[in-house]
Amino acid sequence: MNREEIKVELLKIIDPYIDEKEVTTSISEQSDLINDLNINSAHLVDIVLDIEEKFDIMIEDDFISKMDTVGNSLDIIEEKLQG
Amino acid sequence: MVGIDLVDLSDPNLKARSDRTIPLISHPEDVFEKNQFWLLWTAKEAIFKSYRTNRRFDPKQIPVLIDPNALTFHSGKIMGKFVISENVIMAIAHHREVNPIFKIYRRRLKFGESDDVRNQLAAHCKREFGWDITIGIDADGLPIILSQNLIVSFTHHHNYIGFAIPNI
Repeated sequence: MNREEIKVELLKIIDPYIDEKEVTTSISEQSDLINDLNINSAHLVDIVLDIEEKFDIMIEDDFISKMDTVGNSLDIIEEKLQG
Repeated sequence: MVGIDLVDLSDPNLKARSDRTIPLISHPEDVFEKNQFWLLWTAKEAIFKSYRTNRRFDPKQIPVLIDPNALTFHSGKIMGKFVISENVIMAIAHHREVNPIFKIYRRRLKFGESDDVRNQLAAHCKREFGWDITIGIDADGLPIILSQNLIVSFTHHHNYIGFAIPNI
């Protein structure tokens, strides 16, 4: 999968956790999951579980502190898929 | 300093927590029981908020010792307690010398929980203290009651919202 394909799948994963759907029209790699997309922090672990299931990868345990933006989350998934 | 966090377990988007999820949030010095993911999470979030920092929340960097019998916890100079109801687990954290006031409410609006909880705080302060408050942010972008120069911590999840302030 290339980065764009991973991004499409990642956005599908995070979509259910976004209450106010109007923010989805302006999602970029710089979008902060909590501050820009208003995802409740209680769902960060849910997103990790969804990513692991969708991409069939095992995320490092310190992922939560690194998954601040869409782009940084993509970096980690991309690295895992290439690894 | 005070911090509050809550989780509404009725949220259908919450997946079951398992042995896999604990390592995502745990610190080597944590003391808790295996099935206490949400106690651990809410305690860490509440403690983090009590730090009043604009750094990123990293649960793995916050050690928590939970006493499940007393429903209390502590982390360094921060102490706290849990309030648990059928669907809601709430943690309130504070420095030893601070006696917090906290309230949780069921949300009245589907959206706009930020305004909702601020309105509840304003109503509480008017009712209890006779204050007409304005809520703003401090130099770190964290919430504060401007008129009283009093820190405030907010929380919301799914159907519930809450706030905590130091008791003056």
